Amino acid sequence: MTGARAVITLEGLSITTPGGRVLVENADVSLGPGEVVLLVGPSGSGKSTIINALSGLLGADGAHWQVQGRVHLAGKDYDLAQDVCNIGGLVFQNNALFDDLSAAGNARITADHIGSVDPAIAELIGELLHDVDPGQNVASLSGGQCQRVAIARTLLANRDVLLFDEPNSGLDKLAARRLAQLIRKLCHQMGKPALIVAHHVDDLLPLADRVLFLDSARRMLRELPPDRAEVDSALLCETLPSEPRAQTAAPYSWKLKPHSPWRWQFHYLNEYFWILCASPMLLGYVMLGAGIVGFVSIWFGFNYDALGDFVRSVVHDDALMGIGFIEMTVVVPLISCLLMVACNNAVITADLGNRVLSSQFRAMSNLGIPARRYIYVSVGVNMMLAGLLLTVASGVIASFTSYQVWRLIFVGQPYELWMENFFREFLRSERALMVHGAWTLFKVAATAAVATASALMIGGKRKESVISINHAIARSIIIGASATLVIHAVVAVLQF
Amino acid sequence: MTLAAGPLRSVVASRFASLILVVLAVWAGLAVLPQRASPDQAVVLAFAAAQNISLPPDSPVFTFDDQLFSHQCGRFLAPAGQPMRLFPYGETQCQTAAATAIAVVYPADIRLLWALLTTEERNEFSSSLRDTSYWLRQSLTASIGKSFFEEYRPIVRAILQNALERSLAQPQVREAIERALRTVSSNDVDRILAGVVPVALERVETNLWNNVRGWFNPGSEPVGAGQIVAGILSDPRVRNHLYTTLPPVLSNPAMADAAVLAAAEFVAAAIDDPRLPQLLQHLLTDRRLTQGLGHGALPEGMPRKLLKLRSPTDHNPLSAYVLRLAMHGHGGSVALLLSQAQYSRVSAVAGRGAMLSVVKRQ
Repeated sequence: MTGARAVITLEGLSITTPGGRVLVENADVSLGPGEVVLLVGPSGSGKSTIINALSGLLGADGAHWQVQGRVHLAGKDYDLAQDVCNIGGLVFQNNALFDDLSAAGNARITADHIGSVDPAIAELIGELLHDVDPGQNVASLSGGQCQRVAIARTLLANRDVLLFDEPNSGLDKLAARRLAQLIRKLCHQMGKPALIVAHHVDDLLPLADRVLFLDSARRMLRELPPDRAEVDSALLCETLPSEPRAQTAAPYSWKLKPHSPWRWQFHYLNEYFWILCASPMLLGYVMLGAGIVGFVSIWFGFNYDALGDFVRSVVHDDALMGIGFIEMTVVVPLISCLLMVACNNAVITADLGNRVLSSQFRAMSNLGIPARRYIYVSVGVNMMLAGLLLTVASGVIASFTSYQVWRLIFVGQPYELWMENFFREFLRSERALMVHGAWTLFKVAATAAVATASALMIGGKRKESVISINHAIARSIIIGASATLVIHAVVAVLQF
Repeated sequence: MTLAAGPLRSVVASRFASLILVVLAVWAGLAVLPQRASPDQAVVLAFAAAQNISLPPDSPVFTFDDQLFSHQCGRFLAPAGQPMRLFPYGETQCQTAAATAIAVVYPADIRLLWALLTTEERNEFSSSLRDTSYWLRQSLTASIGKSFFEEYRPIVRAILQNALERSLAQPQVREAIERALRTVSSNDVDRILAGVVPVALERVETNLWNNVRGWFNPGSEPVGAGQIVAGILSDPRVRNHLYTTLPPVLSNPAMADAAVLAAAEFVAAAIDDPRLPQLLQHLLTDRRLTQGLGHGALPEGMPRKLLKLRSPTDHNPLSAYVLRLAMHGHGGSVALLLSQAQYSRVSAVAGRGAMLSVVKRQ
């Protein structure tokens, strides 16, 4: 199965699943320049596993696959048993677009990580995405547009072979044929082969040069005659109209000049800042919690004391000092951390779970983008920042509410009387302020670190379904909140 | 990169909402958090005359309304070896008081609280105190008459007898009594005996003849000397005579000193008696006694009146400050800012205090 003008040769390919099932044994495959090859076979036979092996993604999730074989490519040899072979740019079945980025963002993040963009590829992408608004969010793109953005993103990676995992899944007949035509055209223009995994081959066969069948019974790859493909290919070239261009709007221009990849770290830092630190819902609900703490501690502290009426005045100063001290050093940090962790752990876990389930991390990894590093660092930094900012904001709001409630109870008393006593322990000396501040800082930082670690670990694990994401969210909240309670309790014991 | 109008509006609205919340938090922080900069308006004070008063290094300063209700108005700093400084609070009332009022330092004790009560409040308080004392006496008297009190009577008597014996055994008490007796003039003795001797002779004579008759009647009991003396003292003529003649004698200074010393030693001896705490514990936990006390005239509201609280939720910072000092066992002084009229009213009861004069305004 080795072609005369093969650019890629795969010899002796054997793949065994982590469970010990042999998918393919000693298979040989060759792909020629611009060649479009369909890889067909029954469900679960291992078609996607083969393209994952060529895109360097097999075993990336920690699973122990056994792969053997050698890949020859332009003078380079890969031993699949030892080397990570990422010669293929993979277009995922569900496109795996980064749904927090715009269409252009998806392309630019790839461009920035490959260093330079081949002008021919840039021109090709401009043509491919002529009707896609670069600033449009991917969630608002049509299915066909999403697929073309995903293909464009993969083209930018400029790998030696294009890999497609069921690209026509979910497309209507016309869109599927347009896609096949597009793939064919791209392969010819770029001179690169494409290996397409497909279940529904009717729309793809006409444009395929060859068809490989993965025989799960014999665990081997064998070539089928592409008779119908030749006929259909010729027919479609004559009859299928090209995709209509928008007549009224000028084509969008796609500027893909690479910049420093570091800008994506800042991009994600900024993105998660507005989610984990400065989301109005988060700010509002943490401030509401702090306000309630301020109200409850003063109102019930003075109105429902067991000492009786006149004693309230006698103990006023010391009681206010005690309430202020406990509020600022124990209750406010605990409430703000607890609320922050409950909210942000849910957000992080859901976000990561979605990225895992929709193969976004795998797609990024295939494109050479350190996605997990970007996102994990951004989440960690912003959780730390959120802990500090929200604790400070909560302290301020709790103090403000405490003062207002105190004014309601002790009408006509001056602000300074409240302030001197409420903050007495902190105003006592610079050292007292530093010591209590350091303890608070420590427990907030520890809480943020532990909660972040739990959310990242739980959210970043393999997800099978949306239900598994939901369970992960619940687990993340419970573990994060429990860790918060334990940390604050232990620190309180150590501090006092 | 341009965002579609819908998402753009949503992002802008979200960021704007966040900004509003952050601005709100900053405003709240500026409104309530302590400022690091020290107050810029201070008044340097010094005692108008040499005083031997120990002031705490940092204490509150108070002003008063027309009803002499206190209002905490600043801090009074008197660090050792440095000038005394008054830092008034920012309120207009406090600033005005710092600029115009008389600054006086008084001992922080109950006398000051009493001085700050109005005449009506003092009368009301005294009336409550009288009612309570009367009720307490009545209740205790009623309880002592009850049969269950017989259980306590022997131990009460034993404690009192022991205290009396121990106090009279003290050399200083004896010396005081002897000194007191030496001050009694022969005229005073004659005046006392003049009303006692005739009755005594009459009693002795009567009992003498009764005893002589008894010798010839074997069934009759002779009358002892103790009975004779008891009879003399219970005679109304003797009692009335002593009521009029003894007080002038007992009120001379030596006699009063002896009485006070004897009473003090008596109380000390009673307190030292190890049986007393046990007796008190039994008395206070005896439900028969507390039932007898009842609840009719408990000193309800008296602490509130003395602390000058106008309502159950009121806060009188000066009263609280004085009481806290007392509870913590700290003596001390407190600086007051008074108008001339207020000073006149307070000084009439609490004394003149230690006046402060302004050295410099910063």
